[in-house]
Amino acid sequence: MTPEVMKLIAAAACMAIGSIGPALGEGSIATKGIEGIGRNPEAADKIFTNMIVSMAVIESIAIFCLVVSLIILFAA
Amino acid sequence: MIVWFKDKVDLGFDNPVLARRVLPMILTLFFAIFISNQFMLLPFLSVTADHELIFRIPTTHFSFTLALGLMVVLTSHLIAISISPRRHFAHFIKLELLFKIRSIGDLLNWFLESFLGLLEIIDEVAKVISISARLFGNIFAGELMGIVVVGISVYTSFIVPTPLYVLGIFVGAIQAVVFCLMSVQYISRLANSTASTHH
Repeated sequence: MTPEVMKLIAAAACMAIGSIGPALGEGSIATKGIEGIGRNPEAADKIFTNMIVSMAVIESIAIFCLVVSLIILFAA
Repeated sequence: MIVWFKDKVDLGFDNPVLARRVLPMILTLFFAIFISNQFMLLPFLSVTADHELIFRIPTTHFSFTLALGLMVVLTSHLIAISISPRRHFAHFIKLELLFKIRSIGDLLNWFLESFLGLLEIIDEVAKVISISARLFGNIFAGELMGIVVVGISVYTSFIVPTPLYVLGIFVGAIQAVVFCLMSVQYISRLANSTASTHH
């Protein structure tokens, strides 16, 4: 296995494994948020903004994986 | 929008005078990041000369976001120092507890506390990296996804990337809001814990 192939596999594995956790987290955030909106539709605006913000914070973990795999591919 | 941010900042700070003072900085950060994220809608961004982009979105360069993150964290430290330097440094280096040691248990406790202080110091560095890499990664990933989809084949280069650009606008606005909320949190947490009297 040449170093080039190793690099490609490492970048792909980083992205594939690293996006499992954020995906589960975002799924649970969306579930709870929509449950809350269904239970109390007057608070929909507040719940929606908080949901979006916390989703963006969780998504940053996946983005770190993306940055690391980009570093593996292009910089290192 | 401004009123919404004012509510958020007022909610974060215990001291309303400090909240009024920090609000302009947060709003400036928000508008700067929001507008520079929307630069991806401009048509001439992919003009190249000698394989270097002439124009680019500011937030897809890591230096820009790193500078903003450093500025936010340094501001939080400066505000905390201006409130009370002694209490601020006592968060990180637990010298006061060293003079209160009376037994072996106190010594072990002091080791634990100073280890936690070390973790706090690492946390400050991690704050800079996380707040800047989040903004950079989101905007850069959106741009890169558009480029990849356009480059797949002739058929995908005209109508297909449109939803990606709509998503890009949305993500740009959300990330600007998130950056400002995180900076409010960083600044207010240090300021509140330094100003609290039960220390």
